[in-house]
Amino acid sequence: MLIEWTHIGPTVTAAFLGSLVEFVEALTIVVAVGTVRGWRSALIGTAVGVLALAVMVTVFGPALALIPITWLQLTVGVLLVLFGMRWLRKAVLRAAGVIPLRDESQTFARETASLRLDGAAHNHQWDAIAIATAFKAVVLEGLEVVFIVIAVGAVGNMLVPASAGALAAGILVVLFGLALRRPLSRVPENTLKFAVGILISAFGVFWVGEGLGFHWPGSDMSIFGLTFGFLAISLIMIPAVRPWPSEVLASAVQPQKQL
Amino acid sequence: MVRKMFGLFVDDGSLAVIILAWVFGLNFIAQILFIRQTWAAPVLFLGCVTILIENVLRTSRQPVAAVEKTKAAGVKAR
Repeated sequence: MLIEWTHIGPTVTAAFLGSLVEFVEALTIVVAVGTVRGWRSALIGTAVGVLALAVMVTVFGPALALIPITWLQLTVGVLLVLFGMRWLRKAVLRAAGVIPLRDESQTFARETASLRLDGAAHNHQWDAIAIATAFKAVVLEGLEVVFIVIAVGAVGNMLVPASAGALAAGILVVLFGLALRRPLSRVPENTLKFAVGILISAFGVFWVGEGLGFHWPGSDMSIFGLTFGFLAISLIMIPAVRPWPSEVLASAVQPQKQL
Repeated sequence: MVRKMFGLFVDDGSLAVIILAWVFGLNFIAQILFIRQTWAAPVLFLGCVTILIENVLRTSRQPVAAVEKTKAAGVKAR
């Protein structure tokens, strides 16, 4: 049981946490649309988006089995490294205060303001703007979920655990969304992206190595080492790149100007 | 929509380019030096970490990072 969990644990965790972030972002947009333009159109757009995703996965999913395994490992690995290190880079910069934290409440306010500018909702007709907005949000965030699930699950025959992790995240977010009917602004999004960035980067580097025919010490277990490595480096970087207080900078600069 | 999908993987163009150059450059070097079985994997990881550190340090020192921060705080930049 322990050995099984050490194998599927990282996959399930990465899929769950990564999908959780995407579902929260999609929920923010859908709630904004529902609040401003009406829930009927928001839910129609959401349903059509989910259907579109299901069709894409059904049509393109089986094609993965046709790709030679080393090519799949290398391609998925490179995409994971690009995706994961992008998230990790931003999460470190946000945690250090170099760039502002993402705020779902602000995103919600921006979306509702934009939707109000697009004209009043037509309660008795199809609200095309609302449907399109909800559809785009669900498809775009959903594609990220699909990518995360396939990337962390396909190469190591872990699609079922990865899908289970994503499904659990989706159910959790939908339940909270239905209960609260407002953006989940208290979700520690940057912490989640930090964790997911580390996991996805570790997976990516591992699969790139496998795809290039490199030998990892400890085989699959090296993913744990890669995870801890990225975590340690990231935790060291946060205080290292944190901006100094402006008073300290001002007093440091002034003596040089006098010279 | 296509631009947003592209943006899932490429945010800072230099980060993506350097990662790709490192991955394929290391593969080329590993084939020449026959280091595939022993050191190539840890070197791959160390290279990726170095790229991440360099990019984060460089971004944190850019003036635009400070401007973005002051904009977010609602203070007008000079």
